[in-house]
Amino acid sequence: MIQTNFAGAVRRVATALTLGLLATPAFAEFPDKPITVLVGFGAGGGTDTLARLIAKEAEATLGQPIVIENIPGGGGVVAATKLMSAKPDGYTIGMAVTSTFSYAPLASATVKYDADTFDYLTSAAALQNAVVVGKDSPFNSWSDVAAAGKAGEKLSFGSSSPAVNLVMTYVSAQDGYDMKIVPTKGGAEIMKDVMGGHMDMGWSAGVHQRFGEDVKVLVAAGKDRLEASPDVPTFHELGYDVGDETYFLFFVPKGIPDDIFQALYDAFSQGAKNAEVVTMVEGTMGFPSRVLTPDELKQNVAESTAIYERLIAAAAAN
Amino acid sequence: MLDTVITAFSDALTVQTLVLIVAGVFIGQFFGAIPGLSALTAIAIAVPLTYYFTPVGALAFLVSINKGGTVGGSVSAILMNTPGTPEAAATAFDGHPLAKQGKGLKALKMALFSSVTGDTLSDFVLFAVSAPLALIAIRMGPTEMLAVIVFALTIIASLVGKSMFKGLIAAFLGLLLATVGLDPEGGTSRFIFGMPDLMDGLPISAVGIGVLAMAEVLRQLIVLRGAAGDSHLPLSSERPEDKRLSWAEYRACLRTILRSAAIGTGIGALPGIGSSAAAFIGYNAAIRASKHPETFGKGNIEGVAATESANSSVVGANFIPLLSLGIPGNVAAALILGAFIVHGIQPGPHLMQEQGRLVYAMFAAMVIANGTNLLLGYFGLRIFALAARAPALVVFPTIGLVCLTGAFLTSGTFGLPLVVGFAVIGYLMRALGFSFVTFIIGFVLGPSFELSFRQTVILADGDLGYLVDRPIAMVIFALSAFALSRTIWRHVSTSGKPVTP
Repeated sequence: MIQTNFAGAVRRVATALTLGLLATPAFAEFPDKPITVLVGFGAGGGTDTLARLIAKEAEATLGQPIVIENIPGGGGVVAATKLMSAKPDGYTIGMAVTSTFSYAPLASATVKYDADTFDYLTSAAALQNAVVVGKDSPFNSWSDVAAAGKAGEKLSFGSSSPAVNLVMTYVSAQDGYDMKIVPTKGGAEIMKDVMGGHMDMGWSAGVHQRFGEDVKVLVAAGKDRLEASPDVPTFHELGYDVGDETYFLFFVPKGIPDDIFQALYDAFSQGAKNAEVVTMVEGTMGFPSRVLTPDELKQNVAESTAIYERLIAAAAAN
Repeated sequence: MLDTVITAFSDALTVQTLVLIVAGVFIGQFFGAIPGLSALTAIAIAVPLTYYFTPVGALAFLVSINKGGTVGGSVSAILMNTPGTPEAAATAFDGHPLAKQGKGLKALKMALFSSVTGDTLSDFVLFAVSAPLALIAIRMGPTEMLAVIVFALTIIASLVGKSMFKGLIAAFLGLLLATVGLDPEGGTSRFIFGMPDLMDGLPISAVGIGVLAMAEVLRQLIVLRGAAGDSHLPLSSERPEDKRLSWAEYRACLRTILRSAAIGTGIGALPGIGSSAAAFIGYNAAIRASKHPETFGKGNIEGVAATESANSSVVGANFIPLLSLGIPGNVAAALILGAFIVHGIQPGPHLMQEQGRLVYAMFAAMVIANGTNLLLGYFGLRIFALAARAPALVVFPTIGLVCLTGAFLTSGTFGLPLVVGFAVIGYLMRALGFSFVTFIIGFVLGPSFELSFRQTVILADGDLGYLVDRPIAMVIFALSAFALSRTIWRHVSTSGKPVTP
């Protein structure tokens, strides 16, 4: 015990000395070495693309290279877990999505962090969550679906994640019917399955916009209506208490000195607002550009956490 | 029509694009030829670089790496018996025995020619009938995909080697290990022992490198103890006909090559099956069609042709679901999809109307890349064949080191213990006569099999009528049952003569 304490003391002194030494060039401006961004999804996906686009702009502002490191897994969980042990010096930051911090910690005991473990820096864009059907589907609105469900038809629904399963189970349970919720690889796979008539409807995080007239949007599944389909109501408007806003966001370990945090915020939020980046995000990727402040993001994650806590409790009660 | 072709080639024939195509093919062949590295590693590294190129240049570069990699992948399989990826595993069956007979160069040339032939044919299918084939992809729902995967698995079962039971045990072990990670339906974690790194499952690159390449390195090092200075390959045969590949020999394999190209193209048009399954199905079909099936696995050059044509023709056809639906058929295609988006190209049903000129320029670049593949490959093969002649005690440890590097590049420090662990498993399987091939195929197809199976169960909802309503799936299931019973019958009646290693 004594030895442990002694070792601990030595380590603390050593740390203090090291920090002291490192702090010597304290007058040097942040950053004086490359910054690493741990991206919670694979190279080539939407999150990765956004991270790289914005990092390129932030690089110019900060005057140091920004290295993108892809650490895919568990919807951002692996990258967030890695970032837990990163030094809060501003040289390692992360990028993931809202549900990495709201849904994931609630769903799995493997996840060692929660919504309050990190500070949120800024966001790049919002997902465009929607429920869609193929163009030949008999359904033209959500009330058509609900009517068929209440009439006893067991409809199939292509889901992209367990969080979506929760939302759809909640919605159908509210009207007292069951759906066949089918897990998929997500994205364009679901569009293929609804267009081919293999599933009655499916979830889209925005990919449906690419398919134009081949799919119909029944309902907006986020907090607000969809940019591209302003006439389609949200679940909330229809009386279902679901629908969180999901952002692609940058996050950092807690405890970064204020001036460094500010420098990072300025560089990355300016990067996300850059005209070329916005054109890319809205024009090509089809996501509305949303650049939020740290406080707004903290609130976003908290709101989303509250929704999923409620959905999980409801699912457990059934 | 002619206008389109001329515009496409003039867009593709810029200095930057040409340089990028040649560089891409070279990098792809180089990475493909070195066990432990693969075209996938090269593409992952190259994607961020391409953000600074023109759109045509960027796509041409990535596609060229992909194409070069499929040619390069045969080199280490034939010369060293260390396939870097599962798709080249069947190339080693006949390629390596040929190399042992001093006919390495002949086998390499056959691999190159059949690879480029298969690739080119599948590219033409992509250019010509991409739209109707995309419609077929839309017709393939979860049940149809399940049927195709079951068919692929039953074909693999016919490759199990001496003991059918050992082969099946290995295949089921592969399927079991494929369940590591998040449950596709509920999202709960399975067999991850509290390690978030395992949430997306065991990384396929690390498992492939370990079982296929690193395990062979281990085996060689154990076999070669005491034989320090020798090369593991004999001197190339002095007879010129063993080094050359004559037109007649290519002509004799042409049926096999075309058959495999058709198989590879069909499988490539369906996302999620992949080039490994195509390679084995092509190889198996060649054995079935041959008058001398007993010569396969002992150095029949048709085996090399069948495998290489099949796995290369997946590359072009993979672009069918990628371009028309935005569905990537494999990891390399997913990375290329990312590069598309960065360059402002959003694949989907309207891609041709919106970005037709760019897509045609990419097609032209693909044709140029195929030619480059042939030229670079033809001259590069000699160098690789020469390098493989170095003393075994230099070659194999070097390959081991590169394997570890490759695992590190794709999976970080987490990949290193995995490669070593799976090398030991792969070595034990070789030593005890379990088929590492059925193991790796079970592992590769496992996730798709599980997902489509569970999707089918949920959709059918306990009603067998759901299956009967799906004629395409029923036909494929019937074919699988036929193939399986034939395999069992053959095993029983020949009481276990070896078919393949």
